[in-house]
Amino acid sequence: MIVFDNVSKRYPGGHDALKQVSFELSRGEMAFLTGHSGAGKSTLLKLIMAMEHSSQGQVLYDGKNLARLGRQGIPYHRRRIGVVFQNHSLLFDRSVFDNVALPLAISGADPSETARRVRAALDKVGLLHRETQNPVALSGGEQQRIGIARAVVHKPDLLLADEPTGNLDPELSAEIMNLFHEFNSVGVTVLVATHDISLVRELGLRQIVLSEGRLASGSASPVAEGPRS
Amino acid sequence: MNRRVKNKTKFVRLAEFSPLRLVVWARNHFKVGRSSLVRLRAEPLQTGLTVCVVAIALALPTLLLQLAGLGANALSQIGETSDINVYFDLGVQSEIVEERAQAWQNDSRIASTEVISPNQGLDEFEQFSGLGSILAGFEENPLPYVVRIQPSEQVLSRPAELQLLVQALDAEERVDSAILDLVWLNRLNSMVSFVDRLSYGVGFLLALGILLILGNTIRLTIENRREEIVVIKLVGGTDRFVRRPLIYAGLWYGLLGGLAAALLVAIVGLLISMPLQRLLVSYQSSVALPDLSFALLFKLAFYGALLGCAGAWISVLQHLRNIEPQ
Ligand SMILES: Nc1ncnc2c1ncn2[C@@H]1O[C@H](COP(=O)(O)OP(=O)(O)OP(=O)(O)O)[C@@H](O)[C@H]1O
Ligand SMILES: [Mg+2]
Repeated sequence: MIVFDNVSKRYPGGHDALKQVSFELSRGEMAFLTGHSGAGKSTLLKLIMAMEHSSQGQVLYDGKNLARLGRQGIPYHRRRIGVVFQNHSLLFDRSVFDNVALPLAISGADPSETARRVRAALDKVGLLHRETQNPVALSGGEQQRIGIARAVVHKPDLLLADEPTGNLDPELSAEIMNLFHEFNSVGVTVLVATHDISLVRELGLRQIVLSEGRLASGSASPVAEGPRS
Repeated sequence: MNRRVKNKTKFVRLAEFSPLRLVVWARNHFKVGRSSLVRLRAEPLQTGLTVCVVAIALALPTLLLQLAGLGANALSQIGETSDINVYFDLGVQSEIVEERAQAWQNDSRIASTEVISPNQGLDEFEQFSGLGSILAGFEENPLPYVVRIQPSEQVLSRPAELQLLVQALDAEERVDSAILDLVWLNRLNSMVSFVDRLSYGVGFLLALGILLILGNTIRLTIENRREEIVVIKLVGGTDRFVRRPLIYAGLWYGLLGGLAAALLVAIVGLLISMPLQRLLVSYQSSVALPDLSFALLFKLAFYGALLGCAGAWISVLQHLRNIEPQ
């Protein structure tokens, strides 16, 4: 489903965040993206989201080159992806329900369908009883789960997460990883960037390891390696 | 699963023109329009100020235009009278004036004469202007005797002869000046057309002002909603989706401003209608005061809304492109 073909990314400052990265992620697969801070994990996810574009090489999504999406095509591409980013979290000027409903509002789903799906997503993350509240009133872990509900409410084909357990306690982190695993078991392709090596080991899934922008391991087959840095 | 994805994107493209799509589209517009109005209400101060500025900027040229219309209307009525006013020197005795008036009456070029004593003149002036108290400050009546002469039809139709008559009267002994009403009529005429032009000029400049003010307001709105816009783009919101509530905000500012402008015009009209009515009576003219019509209300609301949308568009084109998720 996702193919990185010799992809390099140089930021305007001249820094090479990714160097000749090649790997493939098949439909229905779940993998972790690990590596030291600054290794290029977020950059890789941004390339898949078409938030950044590769300087060299191609990123293919379902066989289509993302560089050719064009400005018009990008929103429709993103609608097929659910994304949990740490720094782009919830909007505090509206209720939990409206936050989760945002991806549906964008594609113009009708109200009853929206309500049904939002409640299903909130139920999935165990926060259905919070739907009318403002997210300000929620704890960090709860906010993170609302973010996950928002990422899956429109039934994306691919779920991307950038350090979704960044500032959560170990128990909650494990819970969230299990949640991702559950989504994967119903057919969603999942890619999670994380520092949390112990959790990754526990789950025993494929690991794509970056080091200084290069792919250190995990280009194709499932591996369970330790951190390189 | 691959197929499902393909079908989904196809649905979006194909259904663009179907009736169902139209219903969804209309419903979305309604919702967006309503919610952006609700958001304006959440910031009453900002909204109130913006609406006031728009209202004043729309009301000013409207009032000028109405004034010009009123003037033109009045002119068309009093344009038919064209008297020659003969002003005597101050202190000339009434007998002399009466005698002269009698003599002029026999002139074939003159249809009728009317003597206006300084006291009559004073009364008329007071009625005219409502400024009687100013003249009350004088110990003596400062006005001269005036003989109002109505030229004959024959002379009236020949401007050159009329001019000669005026000159002859002007040259008479003890006469200070003879003035054809047409002179100030012409002056009034050009003033009216000046005010008319002015109102368009002022209107144009203020329309530009409205564009800039609303553009700036929308820019601030965009700045305030940066986080929201980023999230919307991240989850696949199109430019159109992000743009729409902002255009609606501009539309509401303009529309509300237009309605408030209509209110202002009505209030100002009410305030000046009394003294204006008095003025018109003294001119023996019965011009109907322009009252606030539905047509004007509609026009102001329409132009307000148009300017609001345009201002929002300009701002959106400039500022929205740069807000992207990082
Ligand atoms: N917008 C940018 N402009 C310039 N350089 C950038 C930009 N974003 C990232 N970089 C650089 O690219 C490199 C990779 O950054 P990236 O955010 O992908 O790392 P990361 O693996 O996600 O790190 P972390 O684990 O700390 O989140 C870093 O050296 C960073 O300084
Ligand atoms: Mg990162």
